Amino acid sequence: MEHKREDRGSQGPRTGDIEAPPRIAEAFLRWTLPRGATGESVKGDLDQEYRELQVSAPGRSYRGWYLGEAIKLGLVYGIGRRVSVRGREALWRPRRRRDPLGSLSGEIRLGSRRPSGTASTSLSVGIRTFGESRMTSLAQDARYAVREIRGAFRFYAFAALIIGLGVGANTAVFSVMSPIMLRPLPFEDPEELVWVARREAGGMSSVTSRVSNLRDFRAMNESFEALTGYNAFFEQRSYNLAGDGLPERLAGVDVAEDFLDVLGVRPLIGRNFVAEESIWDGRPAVILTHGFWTRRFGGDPGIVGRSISLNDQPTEVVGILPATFDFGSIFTPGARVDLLRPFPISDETDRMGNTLAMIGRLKPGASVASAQADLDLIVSQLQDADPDRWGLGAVVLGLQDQISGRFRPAMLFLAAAAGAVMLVACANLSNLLLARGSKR
Amino acid sequence: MSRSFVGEFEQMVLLAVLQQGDSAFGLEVRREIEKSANRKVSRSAFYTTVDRLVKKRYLEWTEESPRDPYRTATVRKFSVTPSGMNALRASQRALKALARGLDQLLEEA
Repeated sequence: MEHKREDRGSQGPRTGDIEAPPRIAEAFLRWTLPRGATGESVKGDLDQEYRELQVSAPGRSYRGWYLGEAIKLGLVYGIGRRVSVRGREALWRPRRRRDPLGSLSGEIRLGSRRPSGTASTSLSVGIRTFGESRMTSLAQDARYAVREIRGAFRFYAFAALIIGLGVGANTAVFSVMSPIMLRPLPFEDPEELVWVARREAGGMSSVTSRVSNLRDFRAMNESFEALTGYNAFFEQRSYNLAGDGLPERLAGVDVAEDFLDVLGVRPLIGRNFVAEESIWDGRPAVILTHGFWTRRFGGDPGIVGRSISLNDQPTEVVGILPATFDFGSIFTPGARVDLLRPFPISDETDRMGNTLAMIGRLKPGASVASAQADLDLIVSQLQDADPDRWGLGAVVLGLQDQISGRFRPAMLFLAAAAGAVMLVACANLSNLLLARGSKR
Repeated sequence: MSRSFVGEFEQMVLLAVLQQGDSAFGLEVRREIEKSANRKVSRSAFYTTVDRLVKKRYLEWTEESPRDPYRTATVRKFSVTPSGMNALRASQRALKALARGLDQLLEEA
């Protein structure tokens, strides 16, 4: 073996090339390995192998390997063996022994810490540290749990399945409820945002407006800093993505040019739509949602500025939405949204009918009530000016109320159902445990 | 004598220590077993066995300065104690006695 050592030396591993072991692994080893020569040599062996691995295959990282080995060693030394059960009991029953000076001292005898080598010091260890005893206890509990599970694997698998179903149902419901009802809207000053419906209630086409309404409201109102909207019927259209990778059918929302500006959402990368893109037959452009960008393009920022093929039409990716803005979960829960497209506020889109979901940002000092009064006046003026005009109407609601209000009953019902599922799961599990207990 | 037997892996450790002689350091002993037995030896199993043999007083160690120039930590040089040699001999004798007359069968296997 000596010659091997010399060979290694002649390779000249430069210390500068050697990556230091993970600090957490070293700390874990310091905590778990025995003090003194035994612990030092065990760690030294590991360090030496770690260094040799790096010398034999430079450029690769072995930090994960080191961490894994450290954990295994820690489990053996810190947990599995350092204190025997007898020793652990002795921890709480200090034996009084006369020391060489003749005085009495409390000492704990640990079976596994007997003198172990010619160079070892006296290993009649006094007091275990709190951390060690806690770790030992944890390890014994863990070992007991593993033994139990191995002994009745099917029972515990079924128990895990039951709990998993309950937890899964609750997690699913909570993940839908959280952005709609619990968290504030991820927009700038969300309390200033309002929803402008055509009527107070009804189906989708009853609450959506014509584009001409938006144009007139924009021109005549005194309460709004800005009014914008999106095509509420966006799900009727899909976009076929072709090109690199598998073809995919995407869902896209058509939004007004200033939609993101009004909400106070800035693209994570790239820019918002510009005027040339937001006119009828304008330059094709899309903004990708964060989820679609990471899923399809692996979060590649280079996609911005490049062209993708949507419905056989080259379309420029002009921006990426931030992860905090998930259009689908806020405005249309349950609907997948992959991209935003510009929606022209023009005569062509006006002829489509009541398609627009209108959103406004109130001016400082304006309220929902004052905005409502303002729009009521405008609506009556417009109706007077053109008695044949159809589709007029405006009902102002707080955006948060509108979004959560629409889904509140359904969400509460779902939450109650998920809670009931969890209760049933717990009851089933209790019954199983009782049945098993009585059998034993 | 009957209580002096050592297990299979313990025998391997003791034999590897003997094979290594003056170079019977932890890492080298483990590598000797891996090379000779042609099997992967987990670090945990190795140190567990070594410590058990030390506890049984079949193995002892002395603290030495590392020979590897890049190693700063202490190394333990192991050696087999007389009682360790006795246990090893007893185990080897028992194995040989049990295998007596089975040479052909064992070779075929």
